[in-house]
Amino acid sequence: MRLPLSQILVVIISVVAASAVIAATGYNIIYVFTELVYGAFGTPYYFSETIARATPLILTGLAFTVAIKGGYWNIGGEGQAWVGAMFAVTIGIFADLPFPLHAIVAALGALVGGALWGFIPGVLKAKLEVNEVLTTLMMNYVAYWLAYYVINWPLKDRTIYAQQTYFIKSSAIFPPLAAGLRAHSFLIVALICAIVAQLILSRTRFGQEILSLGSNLAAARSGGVNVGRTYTKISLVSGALAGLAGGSEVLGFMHNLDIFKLAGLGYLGIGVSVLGVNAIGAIFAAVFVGALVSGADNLQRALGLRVSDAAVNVFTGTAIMCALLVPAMLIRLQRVWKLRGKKRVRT
Amino acid sequence: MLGITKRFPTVVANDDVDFRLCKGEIHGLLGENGAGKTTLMNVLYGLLQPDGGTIYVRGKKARISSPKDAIRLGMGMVRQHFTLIPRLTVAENIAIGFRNFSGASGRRRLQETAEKIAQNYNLTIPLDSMVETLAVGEKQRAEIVRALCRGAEIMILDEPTAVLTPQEVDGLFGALRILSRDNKSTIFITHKVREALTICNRVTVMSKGRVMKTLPSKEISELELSRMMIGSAELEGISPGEAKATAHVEETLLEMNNVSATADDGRQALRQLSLELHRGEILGIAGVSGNGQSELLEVAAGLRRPTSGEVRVFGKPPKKWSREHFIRLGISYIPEDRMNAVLPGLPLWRTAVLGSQFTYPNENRGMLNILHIKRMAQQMISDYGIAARSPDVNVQQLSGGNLQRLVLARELSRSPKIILAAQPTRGLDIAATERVHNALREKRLEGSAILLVSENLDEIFALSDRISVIYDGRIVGTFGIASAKVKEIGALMLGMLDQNRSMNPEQMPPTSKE
Repeated sequence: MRLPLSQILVVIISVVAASAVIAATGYNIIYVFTELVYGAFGTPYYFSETIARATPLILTGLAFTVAIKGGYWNIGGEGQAWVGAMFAVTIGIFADLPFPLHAIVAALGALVGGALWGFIPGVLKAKLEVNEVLTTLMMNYVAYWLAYYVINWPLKDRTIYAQQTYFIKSSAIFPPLAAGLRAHSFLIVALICAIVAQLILSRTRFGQEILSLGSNLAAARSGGVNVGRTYTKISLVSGALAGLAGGSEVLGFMHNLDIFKLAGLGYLGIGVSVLGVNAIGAIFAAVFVGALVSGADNLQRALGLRVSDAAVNVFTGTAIMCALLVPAMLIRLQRVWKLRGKKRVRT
Repeated sequence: MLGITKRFPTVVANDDVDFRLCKGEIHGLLGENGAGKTTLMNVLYGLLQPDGGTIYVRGKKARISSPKDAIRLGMGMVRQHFTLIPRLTVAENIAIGFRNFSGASGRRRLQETAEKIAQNYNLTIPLDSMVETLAVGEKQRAEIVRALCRGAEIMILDEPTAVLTPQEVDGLFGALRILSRDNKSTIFITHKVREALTICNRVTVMSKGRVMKTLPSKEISELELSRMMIGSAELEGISPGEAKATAHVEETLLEMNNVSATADDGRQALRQLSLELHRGEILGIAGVSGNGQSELLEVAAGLRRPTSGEVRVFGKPPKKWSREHFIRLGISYIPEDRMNAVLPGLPLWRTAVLGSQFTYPNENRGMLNILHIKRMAQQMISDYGIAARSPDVNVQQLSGGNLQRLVLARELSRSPKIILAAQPTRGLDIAATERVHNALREKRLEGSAILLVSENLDEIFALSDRISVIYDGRIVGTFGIASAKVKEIGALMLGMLDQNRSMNPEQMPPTSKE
């Protein structure tokens, strides 16, 4: 039912619609569109920028995918990423370890931080049947303001005015994929995660339990799935993936934690997940959304200061809306089609 | 209603049904589950569109395309599952959707109307309480008052007494009598014969989508009526104990002693129930649904922990109360609703492996052996004649009968020692039913112990070695198939407990309710 065709359609429609929104402010749509594609894929540098943007999105996308396949609505990727980033930046700044080890320990820290943050709503749902949509969402705010405090006080870089922490030690940095590029080696971690997540879902007992739970809770229960424990496990895995996304940004991209630069990762991840459908698909969806972000950046440069930040956000927003709407509409169309076919048979 | 016919993809729920309701009468609509009572009423209330037939209201042909039309024609329906919004007050619930009752003046009018109705019919309800805080009986009264406030002249009550205590039933009956005195008509859907005869002026009996008979309730006895409901004409053709090779060995595989359990909604579903299930036998549990059957099976499946009493599996109390542990012990469970046993949206093999995703060779160190699982699923497909191209098709594409077969195949393929089967043939056609019955018989001969819950006495009699009757969470009688009589079992099912029968004193009803 889910043909790649529908995904291709999504990409085309959303880019065109988003370009049209910008064009509506008075620019030639062809020009807007070309600049966008050029900014995303036009030069090796731009392409690496796209990849750099996509890396954490793969992880937050996976975080949502793994959870939603089990019927667990983890809207908290955002907060889990923030906590992961805080763990990573703290280890990156203070730990004293040689290069690869330091980076790996910091990444593991991000994983643990995210998992802890994800675990709380999970265990609340398992034990007390608290709705995870509310708890994960609300914990995003807690995480954000916790980060606000950490960035502005304990870890504040006193040498500069901006709201940033100190930079992490060079031994904790995941190096760029090639000198001078912003795309970095955390991408490998993200790709491994996607493959592992796909394997877990498709060929393990845990995956069977996740999918059963997501498909039919009553059936899962009578099929011997321990519902509470499975929810808890899902929340841990999902949180860990989102935490890694925060780690990726700190250890590979920014090398510090900036209050303005992490926001939105978790929420974009939901879009990535829906667009990607499964764990491997999340990679491609993340590249698409990464391309939008990177392309929109270039658009802003090309059009000069006349296109404000707001317009870029409108652009990405429109594109992601379309990305979500088009598959839903396609399914609807398909259904209408089928019904029509049936009626014809009956008469 | 004349010549009403309603077909569903697999069954004809109403087959050329005629139903006449007179002004001011209380008309009982009786039948077993699946007899088509609710379908008929849903057609009348505009929730379903009939495939054939005409409805006349007050002599005029009526087109009822939605409940809105039905309400306009003066109908009110109180369904088994209430339709009140829990987070609103009773008054707000009554006002919803009715312009008459909006605004400040409307609220006053509502208050007056509701109070008058409550007084007239002895239906006291707390108008300003949140619905979620009400007891079940109060909710039902609120539903009735809501319908009356909207000017209902024809009340449709779907199994209204199923959820009520005896005292509340008396109250409800009082209200119905006053309604009838006020020339309002009531359709009273039930499968409790005694109640129908107590309250109704006339009764209509339905069976398998057809009307058996409509007659004044004075002209029929309880037993005649229940026989008509169960369709025992067919029953006489079955000789009990026919063709039953003795696989029966006195080895108790499952034992329950004074087990009590609460249902999900907190009401006590099992009251000190005791039973024994032996190797190589089929124990049929006869009873009208809602008397604790589901909870009984859930306890036996390890899905529900009893509040008191003792359960022994193979002579020992289970080490853990988890479904996984019970599956490992060899207890298969065929739930009543097959949709509660399959995984829509996923490939068929996912449903096929559900329940054995933790046993070798399907699973090894957390990894699934997909090749083996698919081969197993393919085996099920061919052995049970499931119409599916491959183990990879989405299970959603299968029809109800095929799903049922898949669930059966899965549960029986685990070579279970104990099989819990709830209505395993509900909704199946004759051939499919026969296949299920043969599968169960075969398992019995192989030495499995089978606990068969069914409302269908034909089925119980055709399969069982012994029959226990469940009523109100207790086993009220157990018979060997040779000595079992339909009449007696029917009476016990309906709660007409013969006190003279010698019974275990522990199984007698408790004197007070907690």
